[in-house]
Amino acid sequence: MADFIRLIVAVYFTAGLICLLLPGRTRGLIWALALAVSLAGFLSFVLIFQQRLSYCSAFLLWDGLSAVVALGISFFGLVISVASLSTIPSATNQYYGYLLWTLGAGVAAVVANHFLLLVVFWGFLAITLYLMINLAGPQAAYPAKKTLIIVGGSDSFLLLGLCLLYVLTGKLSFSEINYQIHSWQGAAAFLCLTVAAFAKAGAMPFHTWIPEISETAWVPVMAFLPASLDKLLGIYLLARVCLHLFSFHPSLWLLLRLAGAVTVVAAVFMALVQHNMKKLLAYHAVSQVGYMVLGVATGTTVGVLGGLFHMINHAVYKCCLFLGAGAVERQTGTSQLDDLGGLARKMPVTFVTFLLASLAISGVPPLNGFFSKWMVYQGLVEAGRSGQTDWVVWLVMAMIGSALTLASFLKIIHSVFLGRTTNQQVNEAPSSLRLALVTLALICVVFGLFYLPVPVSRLLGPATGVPAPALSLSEPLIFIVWGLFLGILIFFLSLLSKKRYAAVFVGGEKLSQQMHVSGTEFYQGVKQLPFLRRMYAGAEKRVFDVYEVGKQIVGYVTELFRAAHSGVLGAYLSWLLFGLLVVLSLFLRV
Amino acid sequence: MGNVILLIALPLAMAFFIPMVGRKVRWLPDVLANITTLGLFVLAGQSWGREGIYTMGGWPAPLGIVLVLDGLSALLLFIINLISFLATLFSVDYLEKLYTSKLRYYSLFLLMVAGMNGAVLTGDFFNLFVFLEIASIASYALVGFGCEAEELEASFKYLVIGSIASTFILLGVALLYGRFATLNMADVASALQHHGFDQVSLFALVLLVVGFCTKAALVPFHAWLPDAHPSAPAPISAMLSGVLIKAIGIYALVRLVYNVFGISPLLASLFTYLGVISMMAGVLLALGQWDFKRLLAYHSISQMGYVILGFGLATPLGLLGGLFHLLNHSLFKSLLFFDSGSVEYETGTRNLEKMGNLVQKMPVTSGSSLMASLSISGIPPFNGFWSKLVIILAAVQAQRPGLALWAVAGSILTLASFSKIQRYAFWGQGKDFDAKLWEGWKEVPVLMRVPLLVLAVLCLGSGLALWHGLKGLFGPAISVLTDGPTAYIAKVLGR
Repeated sequence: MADFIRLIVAVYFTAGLICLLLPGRTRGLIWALALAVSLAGFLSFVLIFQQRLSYCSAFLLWDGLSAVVALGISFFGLVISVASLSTIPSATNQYYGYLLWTLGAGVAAVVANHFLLLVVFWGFLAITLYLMINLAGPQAAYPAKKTLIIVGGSDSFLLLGLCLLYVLTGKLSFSEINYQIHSWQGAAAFLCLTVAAFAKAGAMPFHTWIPEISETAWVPVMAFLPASLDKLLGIYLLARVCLHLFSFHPSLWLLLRLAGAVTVVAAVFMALVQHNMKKLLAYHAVSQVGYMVLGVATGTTVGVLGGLFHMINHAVYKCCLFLGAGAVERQTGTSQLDDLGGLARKMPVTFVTFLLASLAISGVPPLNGFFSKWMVYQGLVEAGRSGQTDWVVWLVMAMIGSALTLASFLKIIHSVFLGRTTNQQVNEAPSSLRLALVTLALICVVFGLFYLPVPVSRLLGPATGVPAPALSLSEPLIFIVWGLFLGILIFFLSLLSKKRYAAVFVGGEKLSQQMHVSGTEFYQGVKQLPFLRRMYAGAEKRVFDVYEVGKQIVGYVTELFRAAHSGVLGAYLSWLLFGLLVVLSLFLRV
Repeated sequence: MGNVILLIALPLAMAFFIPMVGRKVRWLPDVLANITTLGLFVLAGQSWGREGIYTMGGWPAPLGIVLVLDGLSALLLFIINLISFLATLFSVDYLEKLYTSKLRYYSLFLLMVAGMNGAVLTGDFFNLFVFLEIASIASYALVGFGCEAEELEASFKYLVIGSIASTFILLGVALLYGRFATLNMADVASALQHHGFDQVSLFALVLLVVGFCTKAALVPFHAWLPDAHPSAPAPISAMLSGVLIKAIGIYALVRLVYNVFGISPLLASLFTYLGVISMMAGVLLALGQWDFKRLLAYHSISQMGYVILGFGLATPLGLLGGLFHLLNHSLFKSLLFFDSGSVEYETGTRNLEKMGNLVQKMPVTSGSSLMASLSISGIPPFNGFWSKLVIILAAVQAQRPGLALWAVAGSILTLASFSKIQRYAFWGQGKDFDAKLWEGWKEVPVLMRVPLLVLAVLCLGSGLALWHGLKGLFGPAISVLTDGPTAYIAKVLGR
């Protein structure tokens, strides 16, 4: 089996190289190759997964966790390969080359048992990410730079963390280590590894590259990397670190939970006020990571299972949402919410899939997002049973986040698909894109309706190694069903009352076809609330952005250093003399 | 062993032969210079893995001058002659377009190579001083080769600071000679072991250390470098940053400290402090730069900090990291300077704000520069990653995690400043980017592409390939350092 996995990785890399070497004109050939390879990769992982093996050597670790993540990576590789051809404007050879390399490196990083292998492939992923963002041309250069610095910089922390761990334990394989943190070096190693996982997955405070690239990078790149693959990888690392590598102090759990809960709420507030569809989705891609972190950080079986389940669910619906956004942008030429509207009739397939994915991400039953969020909540409650009291705060924050997610998706659905149309000439997305959208939306439904037999038991059961715990779902479901019923009742009752329909007008004038009321304005009010006003102002000045803050500080220090370098020879000579005196005083003291 | 002397004699002779015969035929200087450096590279390759003593004129060790070839000098010889061959190859078209007087250029170039080869081979203090003066003086002239005001100013500053450093070195050598009545390094080492350290020998040590640190451009002795390195023609910058500061700076320092005086805790901690300060100061200064080559020059300071940090840890793993990073730095930094030369060759500017979108016009240059940038920033699988890994691991293993954290911080800032280059020059656009000029830019001539490709492949390949044979490759050099003065004395003096 080890040979088989090695073969798959090698095939991914070789096929990527071939794609890069082929001339860009041979679009069909490249597409066929990429499709064939990613399909073969997916099928082989399905085959391996079916056998429920586990394998462990010095370099390779194949257990329930790496199996499900590797399967996920190969699946999204396939979906994106199918969906991309019609959405990327140029550079087919480079795009598919980098895509296949990403798949190879991603799979290799996930099945790596040796520290060095993980670091190498993890770092390589930063390069392909950088190159894929840069494909969008000069305007993507700045976001790409920022991404490389954040993601590549976090790799250095990964390296440092693993070095610390190696020196502390004397072991180089994940499978051999279960380190009890009792020194500050151990805690430092843990924090270093967490930084790497957070930066890759996009959890706060290392999330800022995702919104930054969202507007410029190609949409399939967004759907592939930040939305699905990087989530899988980042949460994989976090789970590996938290569950297998360390057994640690409650205060570190607390830190993780705090990061998760803050990520959920802060990012969703940012998402509420966005005008750009892709940027809004990007903030949600950050916000949802919070649930995964929260789930893993509960430390209870159901919570961890929920976190991992949410990781898979999020990858599915966020990929669907980004591809839907890509379809809209491709057909209309814009992704600004203010300029869109009424596309539901023009693009029914896109609308329905987008709606399903939106409901899933908002946690509406019976779609998959509801169940994974519920498991995370239950995990928090269970963690509370063991005596900790902090869980209430996190639970409330997570629920607020969920409600606001629904609010912001209502905004996007209304602005893009409902309301008045702005553009007459819009067609449905091309068939390859529709195929991907429908597949992903179907998975949202299936994983929701059959959450226990299909995803939780079959996919994730092996990952945690214990049978899936029972969910106490009956009471909430009754409440939710009643709630939905009441809502529908109110809606129909309102239909009974008399209404007058009139054309939309402003100041007595009828609205022209070009002018239309967009949903975005309804959400600007949130910016005026007393506490939030200051937070939004701060966010606009980017005081919450690690990258920008770091840049400011470093820039200040740099200016100090530069001011010292006046170019005056006398000053330089005095430094030399000063250095000589210092060394002299050190050595002649004795 | 006999042909070791050729490594010094051949470039020295060709330095004067080329101007004599090359005046008439246009292509002759290029061909002769390239053949010479290729020959030197072959010679250096032959001496790889060999050890021995060459006595000049047949006079045995303490009396006459000896050349000592061991693992450490063989490694340096390999680096010097590889980069100088690639630099002459790059010079052919580069000089043609941007400079005049190739004869003087090659003459000075070969003198510099002769000086460096001599400095890493010699086993004699005064001889070391002479060779490093040959190399330094040739480099002063080469820095001012363009004869523009800025270049002459840089050359002047370099000259003044460099001469003071040389004076310190000479004074140190003189003090040692006065104390022990010998100039042979091994002899001095054995005398030190017999008599122990006194104030005179310690003062000499301080003078020599400061002198070599100035040549190696470690903070606070670095001030000449950011002016000098960017002012030189690009292949010379590659030589200066890639090789010169190592051969007459780091190498001489390490040889002095490890093989003559013996590493002491005080020296080791001095090295680590110098390392951390240089690492951070260099990279912080680089971040604010808009001049392509100046940015690179500051990074040389920073990267020398990594190297000396490795040596300061004084564990076998630390030494391995230092030596490995020394080799890697010479590969990726010369590549980066070659890239900057290619960009200057096409665009006529070193200002990042005037560049843009070169990735579409110059695929070889931008591809190789991306690889080199990722190397220097320590991104796997490129070679810089492996050596930084070894250094960080060595620091953690030596119970100095603070040093490892500095190394990581420096690495992230390095990544930041190189992604700046990538952003403005290659992928995006600078502020003063002119699309009309951009239309006319194209890839550089083939002869300039060859060094770029060779080094890019080495940057990628050396990391992966070396990982297997790391011990075998650096083992001899490391054992030279870990065995200390005693083994060195035994080897040279036979006692």
